[in-house]
Amino acid sequence: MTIADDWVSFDTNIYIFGIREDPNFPACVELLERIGELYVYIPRQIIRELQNNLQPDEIHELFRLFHQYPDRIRINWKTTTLALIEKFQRLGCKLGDAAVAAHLEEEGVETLISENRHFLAEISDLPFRVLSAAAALEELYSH
Amino acid sequence: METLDSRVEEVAHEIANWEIARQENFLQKLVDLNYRRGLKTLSGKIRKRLIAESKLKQSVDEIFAELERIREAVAADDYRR
Repeated sequence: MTIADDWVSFDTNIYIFGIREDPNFPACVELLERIGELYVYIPRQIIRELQNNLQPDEIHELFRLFHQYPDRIRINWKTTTLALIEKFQRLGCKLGDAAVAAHLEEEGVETLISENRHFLAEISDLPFRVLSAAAALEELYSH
Repeated sequence: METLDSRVEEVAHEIANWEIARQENFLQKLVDLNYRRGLKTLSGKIRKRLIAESKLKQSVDEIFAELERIREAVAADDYRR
């Protein structure tokens, strides 16, 4: 399994650092530029977080750009199941992180790319792995 | 003298004679280029707004804290009863 041929999700921070061209996170900038080389699943929780971070015209333009890759970027507006959220909450996740984890498990997405090194770090046996943007790019280069 | 229209037609004709794989590769490069150009423009617009709001120089910790606050608020709105 590599990120070149399996579905992945970007945590919200990847989009935000990438689009801000944050000099502390050059890998996020590159990953966002190369999104068309990946298969990226965007669940409702992440979409709504982006909506809260960006202006309506900015989010509209971002998703218009994503629509240039209809086979590579999948957007899902559906909420996820409460039972899965509760499962991750029982494991110690906050509600928001549990919602993200539940979305990924529900869709069988096995890689989350995030710059939050603490994201679910305390949870063992997650159904997906968490990669930094730099590690994801390394995997993409080596493909 | 060659006009722009006739040159475009000439290039289009040349591309139409390429193998399908080469055509697809070329079209993909155009899509990628268009996406990257659009992303760059959007980034510039967002950075300008953030400067106006004095938020571009937020620390990484502040950004993470804001993202965490938003994550919990969104999830509470969707799932908390």
